Amino acid sequence: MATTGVFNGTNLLLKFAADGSAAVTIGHSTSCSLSLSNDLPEATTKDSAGFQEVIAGVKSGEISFEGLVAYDDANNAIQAADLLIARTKIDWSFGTAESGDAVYSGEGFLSSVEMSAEMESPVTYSGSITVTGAIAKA
Amino acid sequence: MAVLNATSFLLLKDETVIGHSTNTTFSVNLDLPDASTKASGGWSEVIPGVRSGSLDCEGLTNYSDSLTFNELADMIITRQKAVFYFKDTVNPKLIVRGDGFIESVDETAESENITTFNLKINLTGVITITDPSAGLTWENVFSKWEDLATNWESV
Repeated sequence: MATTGVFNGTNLLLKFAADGSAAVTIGHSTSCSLSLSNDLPEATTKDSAGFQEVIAGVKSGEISFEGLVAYDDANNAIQAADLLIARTKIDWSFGTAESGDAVYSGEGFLSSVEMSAEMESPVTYSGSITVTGAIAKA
Repeated sequence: MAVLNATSFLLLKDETVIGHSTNTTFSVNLDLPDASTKASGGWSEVIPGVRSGSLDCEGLTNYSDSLTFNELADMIITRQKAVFYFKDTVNPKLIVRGDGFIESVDETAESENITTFNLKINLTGVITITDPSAGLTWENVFSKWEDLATNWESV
């Protein structure tokens, strides 16, 4: 059933895998974020009455994620780093598991992966995906 | 006049309020090209240039709202232009109106926290700022000036 009301961020999941493989939820994540952008080239001319005018240009997307490192997860910092090092194109999806909720998906590349180990704290990871090509909504 | 409660300042697309917003911002800017010359006596001189504006909004995602992250993301995907309003719905002393495109929209889902969204709208073309309690602000209603000019030419 579709989600109603403001809802808990825990329910929104990020999945990815190498292009052509079934996307896998990132393990032990603590946060994920999808950012969509529209480049707006300036179209101001002498006919614009002094007001800035723009047109809709290139659409793009960026995904970022954070979590705790667990070497036995099916998809975690190590798998993300492997995909980055191999420069592998990935398939990703961002959405809840509830039917009726919007799920965004597309292709992309891992643009950064970071692992951080502080004394007496859980080892954490973070990363970002730069979307390439079209973004679909199901 | 008393200080204003910001809760009543809402951001709308046409007649639809962006749901569960927590913060809305209207910014208007004036480009000021440098006009300093040897005749400026060593002082900076500028001239008024292009006027531009943007609208920003933060809020909590609620898929049941008529206008939330999903609809705003659709507007990016379809590169849709729309009319946006920024206004005080309780004490209508200010209405900002402009056409715009969604420049960016983010949805963030932190573990055991409310899912939030962040929106930036880039306004294109004429921006009007009116005070309904004082009637139309003619200086800003460009279309009215155009009508006036057309009617004058037709006389």
